[in-house]
Amino acid sequence: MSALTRPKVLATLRSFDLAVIAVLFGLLAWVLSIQRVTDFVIFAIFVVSFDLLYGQMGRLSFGHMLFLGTGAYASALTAVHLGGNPVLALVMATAAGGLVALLLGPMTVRTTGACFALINLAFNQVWHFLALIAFATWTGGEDGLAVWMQPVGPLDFGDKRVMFAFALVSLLAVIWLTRRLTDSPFGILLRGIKQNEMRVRFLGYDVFRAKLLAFVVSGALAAFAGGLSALNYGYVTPSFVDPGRNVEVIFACLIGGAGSVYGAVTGGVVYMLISNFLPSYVQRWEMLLGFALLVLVFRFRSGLWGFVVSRLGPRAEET
Amino acid sequence: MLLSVKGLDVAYGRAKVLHGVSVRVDRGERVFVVGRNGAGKTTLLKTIAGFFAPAAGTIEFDGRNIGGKPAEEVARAGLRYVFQDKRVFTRLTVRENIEIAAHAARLPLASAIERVVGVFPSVPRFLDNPAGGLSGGQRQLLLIGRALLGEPQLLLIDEPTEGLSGGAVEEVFVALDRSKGKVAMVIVEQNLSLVGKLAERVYAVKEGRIAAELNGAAVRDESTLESYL
Amino acid sequence: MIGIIAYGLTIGAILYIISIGLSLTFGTMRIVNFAHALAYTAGAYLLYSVMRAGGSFLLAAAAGVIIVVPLAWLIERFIIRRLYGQSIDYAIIGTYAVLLIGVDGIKWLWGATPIPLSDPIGEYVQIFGVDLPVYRLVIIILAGVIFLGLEFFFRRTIVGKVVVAGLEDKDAVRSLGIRVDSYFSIVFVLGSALAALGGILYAPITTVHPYMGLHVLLVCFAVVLVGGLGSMRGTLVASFALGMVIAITGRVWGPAAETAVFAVMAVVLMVKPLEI
Repeated sequence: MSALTRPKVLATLRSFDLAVIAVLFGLLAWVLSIQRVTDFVIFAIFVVSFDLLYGQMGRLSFGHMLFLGTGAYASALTAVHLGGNPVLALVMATAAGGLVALLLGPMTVRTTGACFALINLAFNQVWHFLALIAFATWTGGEDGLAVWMQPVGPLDFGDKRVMFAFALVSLLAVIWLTRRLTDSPFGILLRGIKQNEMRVRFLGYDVFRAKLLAFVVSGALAAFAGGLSALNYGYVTPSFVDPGRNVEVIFACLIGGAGSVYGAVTGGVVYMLISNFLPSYVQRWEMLLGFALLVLVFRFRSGLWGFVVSRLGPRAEET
Repeated sequence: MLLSVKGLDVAYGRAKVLHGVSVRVDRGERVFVVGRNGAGKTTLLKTIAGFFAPAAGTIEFDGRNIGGKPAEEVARAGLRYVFQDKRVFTRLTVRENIEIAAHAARLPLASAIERVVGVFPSVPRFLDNPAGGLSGGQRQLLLIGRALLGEPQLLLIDEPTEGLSGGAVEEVFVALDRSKGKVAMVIVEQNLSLVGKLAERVYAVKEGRIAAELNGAAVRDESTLESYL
Repeated sequence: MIGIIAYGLTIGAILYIISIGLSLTFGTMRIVNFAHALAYTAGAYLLYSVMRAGGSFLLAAAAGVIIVVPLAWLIERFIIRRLYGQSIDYAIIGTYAVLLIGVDGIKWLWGATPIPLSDPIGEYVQIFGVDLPVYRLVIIILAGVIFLGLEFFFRRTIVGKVVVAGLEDKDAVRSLGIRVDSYFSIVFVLGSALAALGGILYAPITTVHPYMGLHVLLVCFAVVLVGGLGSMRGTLVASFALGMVIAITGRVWGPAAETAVFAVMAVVLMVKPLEI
């Protein structure tokens, strides 16, 4: 391919991104299994939400599972107490995530770097404790809650094909939304904050509000993924809030390529593939994961998607 | 030629801060560098000293290429940088400040203190005080004394007289004069009348470039110097 | 009451011993070192193995600390050093990766089942009418000894002084021709050895399992953040304060003990956010 047509390939892929992604996931579902790939799709949404904070705004959170868990429990509790309407459950999940982010945000977004990472971890730990022990009477403690959903019109989430389709459409919507967000002036503002927050502040922007907004959107999207997750599995347990699982989304974001929606989705799928299939072949796969992380940190920071862009994109490109 | 810098380019991330800067300093020579705030004077000195790596260009010191070498190596090679803002180790005593430099120079503490006395005569009174308690002028003398312990061939000094009263300024230059001719110096100065009185050769830095190199009579006149900024 | 105080002091002592290294690494290298947990865990497991092979507690303890030293040096040399000056996020992720590898390695070598160890002294002493294990008193005293030792190190030895200076102004130390990074490496290894000691001392009080390090590490983060990065005195105060929080909360509502620490940390961080 000549140097002139390469950027064109990328641009073409970009304009038909949703279609391409839908087709790719469809193929994947056909090759593996619908249930497994639904999981992939939902995780991809989670990674996209994380990337908004990390890739776009440059804030690493070591406690994003907090939001996934919030969404999962919110949707489960809705099903238990407010009837099994899945749409309502998802709305409640997303709202719960946004609310929690709105509550915690003013405290956390003022911090940066290690402080931000650790304070989020601390909140995640507290949340996990609440789910596992403190509120065990409501959350079912270690055993968790079962989630039963009624069909709503044509949407019967008990049917795995419906679940898959709904999840996929959600992912596409999330990607579209995120792209619009990141391409907008708001996205530019976020990236400006990532580069040099003080300069952006001196230029007169309300940095705090921007950071808080990003945090809330990210939290809401993650909670939405959590809600979907609860619907997909049919149950929720404290492992949905497990702080130890934060490494999963971080790894996914890195391997896919931070700072890009496509990178996030790629990373999500790749991580899911690894964690689903590798343990059957390699017993010490967590060790391998650790080594892979090191390689990513030292050599391969732009991730897979970053690699693709550098090969196919025009010279000095900003994703 | 002790120091020869050619075509130096330095960048912060994507922003270029120095463009094609070339300067030279002979053994024992004293050169001043003037320029407005943000012109790039400190960046130039810090890059020569090894705190920044140049994006392009060469830095040759005493026959060796030091461009891109880390600051501690450059210091060991005989090129010392004295920071702005009179930064001493505030939590340590004056004696301990000297002790650290003596340790680096492999000098016994007693001899080190003696040498610092040469630059900072009243230092024995303050040896056990925390260095943070010294006045600005005293700190500057301590810093110069410390830097000289390693017997460097070139001293890069960043704004030594900033914030100092007339008496303190004089003390600083008396201290520096003791090494005149033996130790080459590059001194960044904002005080143009001072430069006019003391300088023989001056580099004017403007927006990351060398706007002019002045000698002799041109140096004496403040307004001439100013015109290049 | 006495029991709670004693327990709080014991926990505080252990937290102090482990957190020193973490605080120093934060302060000198600006790196959040998750791999610190590995030194702690390795110490405990080595203690177990050496004792199982017939060694006395003292021998096993010494062996544990000594073996961890070269491991720490390796980690510093090949991982930490490469993370200097990088964005803090990569340091966090990179050291977490090392922890993952190490923990899995431990699971591989020793299995994942928790191992209970018993009190090596097994004697009690009466204080104010309460029976307290002598072992715990030994730990508290040891923490005091270590504190004094560190004070001596940082105030009287030249290496310590260089580190103190480097903590305040690294570039100024470099400008004197000193390779500060080498001194910081010494401090890193020292901190890791102390972490191993912490693991060794705590092992008989708690159970030994592969994730014990991560567990404790989070509490140590709280200690370091509350006490102030790179501040030895702050670490001491925060360790004992949080140790008491754990002991008191533990008595009131057992499982909430460690969570209370995080609540405290969150509050402190909000009131006094950090610069890194």
